[in-house]
Amino acid sequence: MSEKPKRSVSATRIRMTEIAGVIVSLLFVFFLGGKYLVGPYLKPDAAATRNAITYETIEPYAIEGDILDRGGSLIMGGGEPGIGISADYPENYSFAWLLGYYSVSADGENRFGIRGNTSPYTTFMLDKNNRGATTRLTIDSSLQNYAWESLLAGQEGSVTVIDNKSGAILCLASQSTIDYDVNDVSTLLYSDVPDSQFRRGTFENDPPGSTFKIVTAAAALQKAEEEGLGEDFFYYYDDGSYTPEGDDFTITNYGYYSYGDLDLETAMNSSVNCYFANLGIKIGQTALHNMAENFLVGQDIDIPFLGPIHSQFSYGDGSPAYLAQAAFGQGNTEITPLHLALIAQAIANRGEMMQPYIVESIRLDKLPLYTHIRHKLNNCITDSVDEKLKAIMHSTAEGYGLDEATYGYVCAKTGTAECADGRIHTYLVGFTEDASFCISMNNADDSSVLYGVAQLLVDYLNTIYA
Amino acid sequence: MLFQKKEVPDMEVETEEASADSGARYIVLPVILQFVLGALVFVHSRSAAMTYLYAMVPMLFLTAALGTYAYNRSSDMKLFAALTCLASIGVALQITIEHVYVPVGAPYSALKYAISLSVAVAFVAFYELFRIILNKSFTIWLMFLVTAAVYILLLVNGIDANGNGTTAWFSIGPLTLQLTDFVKVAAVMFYSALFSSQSRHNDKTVLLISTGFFFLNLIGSVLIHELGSFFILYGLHLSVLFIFMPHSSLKRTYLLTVFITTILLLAGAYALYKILLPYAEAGTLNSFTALIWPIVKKVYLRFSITANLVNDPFGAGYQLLQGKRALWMSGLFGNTVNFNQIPVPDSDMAFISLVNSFGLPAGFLTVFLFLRILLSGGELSISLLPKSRQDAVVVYGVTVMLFAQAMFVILGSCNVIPLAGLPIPFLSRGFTYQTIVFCFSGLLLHLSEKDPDEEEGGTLYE
Repeated sequence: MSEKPKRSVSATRIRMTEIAGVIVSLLFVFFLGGKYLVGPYLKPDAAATRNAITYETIEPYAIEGDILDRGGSLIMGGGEPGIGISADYPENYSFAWLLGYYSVSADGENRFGIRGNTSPYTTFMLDKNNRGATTRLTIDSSLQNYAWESLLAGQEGSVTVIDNKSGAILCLASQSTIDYDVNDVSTLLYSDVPDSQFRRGTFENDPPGSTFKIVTAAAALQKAEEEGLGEDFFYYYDDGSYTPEGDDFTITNYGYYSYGDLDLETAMNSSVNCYFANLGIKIGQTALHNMAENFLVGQDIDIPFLGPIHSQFSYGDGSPAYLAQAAFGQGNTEITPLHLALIAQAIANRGEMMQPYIVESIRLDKLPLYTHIRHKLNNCITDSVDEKLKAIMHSTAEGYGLDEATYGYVCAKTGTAECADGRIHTYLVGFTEDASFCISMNNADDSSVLYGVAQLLVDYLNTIYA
Repeated sequence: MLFQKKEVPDMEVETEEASADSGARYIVLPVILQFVLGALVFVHSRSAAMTYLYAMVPMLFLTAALGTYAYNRSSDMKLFAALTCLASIGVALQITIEHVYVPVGAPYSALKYAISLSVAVAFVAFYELFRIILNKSFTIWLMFLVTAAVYILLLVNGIDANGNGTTAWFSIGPLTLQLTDFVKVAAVMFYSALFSSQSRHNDKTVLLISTGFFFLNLIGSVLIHELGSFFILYGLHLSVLFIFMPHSSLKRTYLLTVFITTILLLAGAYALYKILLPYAEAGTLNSFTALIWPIVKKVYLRFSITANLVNDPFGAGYQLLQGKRALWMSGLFGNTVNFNQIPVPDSDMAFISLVNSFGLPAGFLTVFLFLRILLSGGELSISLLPKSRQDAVVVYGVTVMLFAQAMFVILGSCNVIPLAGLPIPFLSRGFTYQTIVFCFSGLLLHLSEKDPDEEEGGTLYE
């Protein structure tokens, strides 16, 4: 009689041991998993600690992976154990803002550009020879160097080129107030102008100026198509000023010119502000907003390993004056040069906006770690609207000296934005049959100064695609 | 009509089939794991993958053969899966260590694995004889003698195989055996005999005899400077008394006294270290203090280093600091930066080597597999209690030996508790311990077999 209860007490105590084992095991797994596995994914501090410890450990023997251009030419590389990779001239300058840097210490982690964002592969993933993964970019080195040295030639601005079919970024050159040398990160400290320290093609968010007339024209063409509107819809008599009905704000043309009888094409050719202000009012807020959304204006577009580009579409308080201004690219609408090039790419590619990308692939020895898969972001416009828009932009390009006989088929549109801080930001957006581009310059009074640059660029693009 | 099918209700047939299918899947799990491990080994080293491929053929065969045997004998298939998975992880890890790390022990040997398994099979086959001995009262004293003999042998002829001041090994020709592992087997047999159904000791006698055995191990461990194994025996001693002794105030007072004394001894070791340090540095320790100094120093260093690794980053803290680095770098599938500077990767730091090679999830899986052994072993011990107390104690002792030692070293290598230089069951290299682990595993599986004539929940032994 006395044996049975003793045994059941033993059984209870064995179960207590089991429960203790379960508790210890679970606590340990939660501790280990939380600190070393989940923590670095959720908390930047934990990721920085992990990377700092790893970097300190591998520094004596690890070699950062090479960076190649689209043709396989070395942009930056040649590292040895304990010696970082470097770039030759002029790549050390022309690619500086694009490649950026990665550094980590006990104080924290600093990353910028492609080197910063690919560091998990190029620094923290080593092959059997302790060399990091090799990154192959879509950039054409010769074009990038040409844009940096000859097109920008020391002027503050950027040149962006995107392949029409694939969305591959062929050039993303940027000139700033300082010459950042990718071989010497300390050069970043040379300037005390905060706005100078970024990659202009992807960070410079300014009003698009008259380049936005492309979006307004697309919205008008689509409205006309949808509602069966005729030539009259596009007719406007310009006397040099325009006051939207129900508002007292008067809009004038650049240089106070008046152009008389205008249709969409002639208005685009001469970039007539009053015409597009009136057209914006006619098509209405919704149609303009929808078309801006079709071109992803107002949405972040993420470029893998480079980061997102931001933009915003604004028609203020919705009053006619604000809508009219928004229609010709002034007001609070903001966009980056790369996004403008992307809009051009969509028009060049029968309305299909492709996902822009700059990293083609990342390989560790022969093992592919990352390969970009091409895909479209959006169908922006219909084929028929696209055709009409191309025709209008083509004749506009010819007005910039980009005649078909000399430069082949080119479409383009300029823009000048008067920025809030007093800067004048000029753009020339366009495309050839193969590539789209956006040239942007700061502190140029008139976008006509970009004509010559565009001619040189198109000439060069034709050589590349020949 | 000998083979006439017995009419049974449909529901019963369905339940039986479902149960059979459920058991069979525990043979498939280790097989899948063996292939996954192959892929992980391949990622780290092509040459290691080739060696693993050769090892995988007998591993798959053994898994299928032993699994079928265990299935047909109605063994605990979850336990089978846990044991087989751990053994597979151990093989994959040791092969990887051989090719990628700098192991300190003897080279990986498939032959040693085969011998260990053969010994385990023989051990299980002859377990019936051991059972008879466990029921004899002289076994208690026999285990006393065996344990004392081991310590004396190690004191006189023991060798320090790892060069860390512990003389726990004994050399016979080409074989080097870690004899302290045999002390653990002797301890399980000692407690089993002490609580055997045939033994009729009162509580006072049980406490007296077991305390004598406990002190024998304490003194022996101090003399050969092997505290790690002693802590396992310490845990076994307290837990066996706590579980299998009838409830009494004497037992409660005893357990509490041992626990408080332990705390005081640890505090005393800390104080002694501070007192003796100047004498040790001046080389003026007398014969007694010279005897206890290595132990005092070892205890102090274990605790102080755990508390603050960076106190001695290139000395006592180096091993754990490298372990911590490895943990940070492990990630999902193991480190990707060719980090292999883990001290003692094949033994004390085997768990760190495991996560560093195959990722933290592999470490979590390993912990859960050890937990599975604890749960299966615990339930098996409970089911044996009414039928065979000595078997229940053996099962519990073996289970605690496997789980406690594994967790003790795993937690220590991750710097959660002070690290003791012990092998981790299944993961660490070491012929003697590996053989004992396989013997323990075989024993657990064997004792989990169910008598076909018995009702559900019963076991083979009564």
